[in-house]
Amino acid sequence: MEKTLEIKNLAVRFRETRILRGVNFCVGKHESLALVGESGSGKTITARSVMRLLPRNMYFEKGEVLINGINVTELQEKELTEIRGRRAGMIFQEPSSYLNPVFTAGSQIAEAIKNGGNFPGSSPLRGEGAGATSKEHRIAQKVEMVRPLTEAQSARMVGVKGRIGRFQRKERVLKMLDGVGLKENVYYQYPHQLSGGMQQRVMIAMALINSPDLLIADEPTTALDVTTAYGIIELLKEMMARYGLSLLFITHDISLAVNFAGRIAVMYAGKVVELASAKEIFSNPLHPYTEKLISCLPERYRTGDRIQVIEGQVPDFKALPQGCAFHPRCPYKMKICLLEDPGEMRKGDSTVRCFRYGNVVETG
Amino acid sequence: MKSLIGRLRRTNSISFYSLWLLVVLYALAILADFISPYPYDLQNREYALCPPTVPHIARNGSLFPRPVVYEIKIVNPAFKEYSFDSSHKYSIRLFAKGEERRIFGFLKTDRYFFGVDWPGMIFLFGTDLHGRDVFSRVLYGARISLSIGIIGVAISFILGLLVGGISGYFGGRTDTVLMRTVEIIMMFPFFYLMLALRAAFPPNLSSIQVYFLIVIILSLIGWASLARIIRGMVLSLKEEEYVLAARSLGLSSFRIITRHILPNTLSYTVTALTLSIPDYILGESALSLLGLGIQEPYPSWGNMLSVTVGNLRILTMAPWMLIPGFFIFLTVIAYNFLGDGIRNVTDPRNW
Repeated sequence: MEKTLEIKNLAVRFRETRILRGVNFCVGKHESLALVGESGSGKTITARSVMRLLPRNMYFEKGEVLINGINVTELQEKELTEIRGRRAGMIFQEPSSYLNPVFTAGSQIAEAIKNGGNFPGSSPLRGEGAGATSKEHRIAQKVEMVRPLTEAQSARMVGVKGRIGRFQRKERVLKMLDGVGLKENVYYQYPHQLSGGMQQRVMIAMALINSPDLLIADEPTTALDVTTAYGIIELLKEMMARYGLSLLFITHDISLAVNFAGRIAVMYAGKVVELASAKEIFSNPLHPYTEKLISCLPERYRTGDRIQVIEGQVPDFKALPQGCAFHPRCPYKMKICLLEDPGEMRKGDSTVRCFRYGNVVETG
Repeated sequence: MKSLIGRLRRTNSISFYSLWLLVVLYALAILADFISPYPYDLQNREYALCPPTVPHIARNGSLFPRPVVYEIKIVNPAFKEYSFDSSHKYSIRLFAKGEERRIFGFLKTDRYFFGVDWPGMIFLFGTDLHGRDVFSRVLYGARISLSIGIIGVAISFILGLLVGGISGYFGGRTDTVLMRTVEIIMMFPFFYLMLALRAAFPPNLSSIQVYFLIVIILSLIGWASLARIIRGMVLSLKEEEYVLAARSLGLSSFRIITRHILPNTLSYTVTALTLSIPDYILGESALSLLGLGIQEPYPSWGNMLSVTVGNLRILTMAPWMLIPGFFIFLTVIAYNFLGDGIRNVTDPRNW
């Protein structure tokens, strides 16, 4: 399987505290992977490390993040501007605060458009000579040297010339607005004049205007009401099909993840504790945490029944329990759970970190 | 921009009228060549310190009443005493014929916007010690005094915004170096630094060179405090989520600073801009007042006032010499009202 995003043993530190403690997963081409977990489990930090948008005081400790085979943890800030937007786009939780209040929606989307002539995929059109000398171009080439573009990518870039003029930009933005189901007049509207759902659609248009391979959606529906959220989810599905996107979908709504994503990675205390297909997770959860999460779903209860909860709290990152981080809340805990951290074990197509399925101990 | 002015009209009428007042003042300054009835350096020695010739409405041999000025009679040339003789009237004519001159340096014409037939004289604001028409000199002086604010503010704001933006956005060592520089500049007492800088340059410069020198001196001092305030605002704005979103779109740092962060300081910046233009006008006036600014015979509002300083006799005998001061006051207060109004309407969340 071709991998659009691959995260290998990623660890992120915040001062002395490890926030991510070895995250492993990959998102295949045209695949959607949902990252679920409680607040504070490291979902957002994982997403932000992919874009290299970690908060100032956090840094990579080890591991690799590969987008199309390019390791973003090693790139310079200049080179990153080529990755961001062009290879990977991101949409966020609260669209209202992620749009600049002083510019119209249209101008913000137009601003995100990158000059395509510098994009090596459009080499047949480079004869136009525009923008070929820029620094941006050299950086793009440097990044590109790691791995050439795929056919599909170059095909998508056809028709894009060197520097994109104002009218071309506007045309593209209007097309994109239409694509995300917004009317033309949104182009001239300010963010505060749009509803939450419309704002999120503008965000999606911004993220996808350079047709990236990967879209990271960080809880895109959390701030929206249910019907609007449904519309956004439908739009994301449509966009995936139209642009051949890979999607990393972050949510704490496991039922949404099950319905929407192909595979699900469950995070707990900075680690992926279980990674399996959505069907598998729902019907046959392996890790006790996943099992608990599924059994907590309100859909599973009849009116009047008492909904189960997972006892205890998410552990404090500064004082993680020894051994498996979940053991204080785990109903199946064994002696080994108190002492050793479980490594990755495979069971069928699933990956799980739990000593119930083997004796692999995490090292390092 | 158009809608900004429209909003200004709807929300805050006094700032809207201030805007118009400034437009009129600037128009007068630009058209000074055409409007002023006399050249700024034309000396009518026999009419030194003549009081304003007030226009009257009278029928001067014509069928309909029209504006006229009375003839000026010299009562006592030694004590500069004048009287107006209402029996001799001179009609004020529009597009009156006079001496030929060039407008804007190239348009040759002998027409003046208004004037009276020789030997009548029209001094709307009186004359100064050398018998030069104060009205004409106020118009020419406006060119210096009004443009110095705009140009000075433009330079210092570009500097201030860039330095403040870079300093706040990148932080760390860049921030330290830039802010310590700013502090060094701010440490100097403004006025004495101005004097020292002016004194450091050769004294035999032409008026136009002095003018640019003053602009540069004023703006090189003025950017520091702005940079500091902008830096503070950038420090908080860069943590805004839309900056994160802009970064996720792969925009360069320079674009994020100029397109996403600085525009959000605009409601402050525009206000500070209009409020600091008066500082430049006053700064120029102060320098000219001390004889370090624009040199005679070229007028600026500041050096026109400087004649009256410490000369109580002139002040009591010829209070019309203070008229340039009134124009400074008018401009400064108009800018203040305008700044206030713009602050109210620039925030898009208030629309």
